Amino acid sequence: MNAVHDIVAKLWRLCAILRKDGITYQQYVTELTYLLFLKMMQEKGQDGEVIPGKYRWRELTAMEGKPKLDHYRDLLANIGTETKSRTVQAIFENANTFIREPKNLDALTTAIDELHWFTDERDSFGDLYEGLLQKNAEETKRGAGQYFTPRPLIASMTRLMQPQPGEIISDPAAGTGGFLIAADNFIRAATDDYFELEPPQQKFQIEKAYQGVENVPGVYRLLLMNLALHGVGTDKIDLASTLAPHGAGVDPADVILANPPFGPAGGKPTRDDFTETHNVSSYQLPFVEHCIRKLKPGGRAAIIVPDNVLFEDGRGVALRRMLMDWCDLHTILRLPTGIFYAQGVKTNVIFFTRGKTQEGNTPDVWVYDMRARMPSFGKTTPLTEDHFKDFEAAFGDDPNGRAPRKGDGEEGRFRRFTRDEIATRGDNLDITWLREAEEEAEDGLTSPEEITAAIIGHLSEALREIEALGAELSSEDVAEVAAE
Amino acid sequence: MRGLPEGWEATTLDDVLTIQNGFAFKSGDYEEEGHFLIRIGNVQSGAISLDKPAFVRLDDKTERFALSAGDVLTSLTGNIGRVAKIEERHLPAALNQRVAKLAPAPALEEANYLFSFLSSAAFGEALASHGKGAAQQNVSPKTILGLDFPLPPLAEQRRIVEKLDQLSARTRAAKDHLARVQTLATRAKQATLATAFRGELTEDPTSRRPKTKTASIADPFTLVQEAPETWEQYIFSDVCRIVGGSQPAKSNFRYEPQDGYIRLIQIRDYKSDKKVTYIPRDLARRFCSETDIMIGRYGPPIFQILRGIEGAYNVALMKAEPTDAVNQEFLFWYLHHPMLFRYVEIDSKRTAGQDGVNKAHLQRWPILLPPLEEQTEIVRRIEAAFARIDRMVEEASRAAKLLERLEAQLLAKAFRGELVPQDPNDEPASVLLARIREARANAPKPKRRRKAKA
Repeated sequence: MNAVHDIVAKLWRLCAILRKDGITYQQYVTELTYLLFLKMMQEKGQDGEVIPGKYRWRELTAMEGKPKLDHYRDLLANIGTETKSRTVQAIFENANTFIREPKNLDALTTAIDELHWFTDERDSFGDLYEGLLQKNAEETKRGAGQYFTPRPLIASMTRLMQPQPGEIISDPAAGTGGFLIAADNFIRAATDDYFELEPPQQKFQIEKAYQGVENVPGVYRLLLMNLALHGVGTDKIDLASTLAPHGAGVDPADVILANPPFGPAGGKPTRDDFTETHNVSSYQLPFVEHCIRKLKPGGRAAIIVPDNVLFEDGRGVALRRMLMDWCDLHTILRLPTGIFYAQGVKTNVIFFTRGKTQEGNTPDVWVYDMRARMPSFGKTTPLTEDHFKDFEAAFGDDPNGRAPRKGDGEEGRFRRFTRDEIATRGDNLDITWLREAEEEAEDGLTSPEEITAAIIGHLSEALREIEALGAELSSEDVAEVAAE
Repeated sequence: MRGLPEGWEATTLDDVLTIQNGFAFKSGDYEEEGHFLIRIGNVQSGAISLDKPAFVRLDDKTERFALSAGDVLTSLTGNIGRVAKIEERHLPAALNQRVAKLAPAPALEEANYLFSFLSSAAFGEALASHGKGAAQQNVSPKTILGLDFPLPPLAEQRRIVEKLDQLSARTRAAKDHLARVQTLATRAKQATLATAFRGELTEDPTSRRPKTKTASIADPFTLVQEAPETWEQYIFSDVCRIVGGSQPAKSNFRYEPQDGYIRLIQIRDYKSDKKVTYIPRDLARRFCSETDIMIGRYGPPIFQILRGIEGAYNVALMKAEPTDAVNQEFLFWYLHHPMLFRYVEIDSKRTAGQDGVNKAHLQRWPILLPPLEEQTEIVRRIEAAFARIDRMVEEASRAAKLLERLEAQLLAKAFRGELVPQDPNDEPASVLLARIREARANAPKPKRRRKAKA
């Protein structure tokens, strides 16, 4: 496998060269996506069906130098109009190249051409791709999607949810596919790479098991390519908005894993099946309602949500009540700060199982506080899977959260609260008891860069809230306020 | 009230609530325990404070002054217009005189809209404008009842409250974040300085220099400083002369500029321009200019690092004069070193009778100095970093002001009916009002108590 390591090394080197020319990680990984896609189509023998003759990989690699670069530009501009395949159209939507030097294009295509698609060389490519996405997240503080979910967190959530072959697994905010890939890896590991499954089951895994929705075209193509590189086959990956009518029409799932976007959505959900959050113009509350509604009875979910989902009044209370009635909200994990690339964001994972009825399905909620008294995460202390070990042990081995559990008492991290206790708190699920305030974790930061990053995080969060408030005013009001 | 939207009614508070004034409990009747007495000082804006506790025991005569969770109170004297709600944890509690309980009419059903109105500037300012009294503002229950109250349809009240709840969650969150900015900014500056004087500010993070130079002190606490090989160790007096101030007898002080006199600079001149002091030029001994570095000898806080002001300086100040080994601006920043401050401060506290900065102690401080060129670079980076941090604090400050104005605007909109849309299918407020009036007419009349003349 030295060959593929060479290819990957070459591509990283090329990345470094292009970066000196001002090309970002996102641009680079997008560029790779176009080329990888054409190569993949050839390797799969599918390009005869969907790719117009002149734009096939073979044609591209037969050229070199300036004519090749010109041809490539032409390809990017026109391939979408000359095919009926919606996948091809999606990959090449608004495509253009950042490459200026023909020799760089030659280097890219030569390297990619050496990839043997149907070998485990592709895994290394998958790692490269993921690596680029990670670097992009570090650089932009956000990533291509809303907030790039740290891979150790994805791994932990997936392990606890224990996705099974035959289950429909859905991510309504798929981003670049982290959860779907993790779920597939889990199932492959448990079935010796599908070998232990009967052919109809294998077919199910390859074609129907995974469902995803992503609404940003630039991210959607990265999602498709990331899934393809990691062997997650499915045609149920849609470029759409979960909060639009499309979301109302998706099939109910057995498992939902997601990190939905936070913040102002620029408008209310346009689907008509929401009852609690139809008037809410932020993302996070409506996404939770989507997940509740789109689980099959008995289905389970693990979703990352910001603090305000747990404490917001008004529609927040109504949503939490719906959640605790329709579902068994068995576990809340308070995540440490600093794990997302933007500081100052406070998040949690909520774990729940849809009940068979719509009332009283939550007898109690277990809260694990991984936020207080933790090291402050950042470049000097990266988050790893080890950090989740204690939580996973406490969670237990029932993916529905009902393995026998023991609380740690008032000085411990894991405590149980009955539904009644939560009701006396006004159904506020932002529950803390460890005396040290989260601010003290920030107080552990010592480097000027990290403290400054924390400041920027707080400023951004404050400005987001202010922006959302401003959105409530008409433009004349805003002008009035600004003029004061 | 200006044109109210369809379905709304222009009412006064008298239409929707009743006021109960508190009882004049005498301080001689206060006990160790019993009902917590809510006096005007306990009613803060938006919250009840349990400071300065006083308790009373209630009897037949005063039991109707007991309070329940959810009761809305306002002060009638002092800072009027403050409104707060009683919660479970304040109970048992009782209502003192000059504090009023505002009880919504039961037929109103939805009291949260009313409470939002009472908590807002619309109520507070209207009240303040009616305050009478010279030494202390006073307002009468009658005045409160006479204030305008725009009443929306019941269904719309609920929509408004829901919306305001959402918005106030955002406001709270934004305020928390902005408060953190200030704290963290101070720490960021400290961290920048600490990094600078270890030589790490002027390094490439991927290739740090080994810190082979160390300087230790054992007293008053153990402290080890580290720096790269190219830095030199000195003691403070080697690199900086400390020159104390001087002043003539106070009889020579004048407070107006005059011929032959120059300014005498004191620590107070750094706080305000009042009482600028002048002394005769020929009695002045120690001088400073704007570029000089000055240290405040006395406090609190001691060891303030300041720039000079043109004139002569007094004994409360010391001038720090660099030698050739140190660049003036570097010395200025170095004197802000958090460790140096601790060193000076601890000594000043422990010596009985010793006031202020101990010069000999300061002069013994071991200092690790970079080469002059690096000093210049360090100054440049500190200034850039501090400027950046200051910009962020400035931004937070602007954001906080914007937030206040947004909040005020949103509330004002709420009570004009512009926050949520009207629904023509809502039962109009006039119907609600009629129900309230009918319920009152049918209610048993409370015995009217004659107020005893004071």
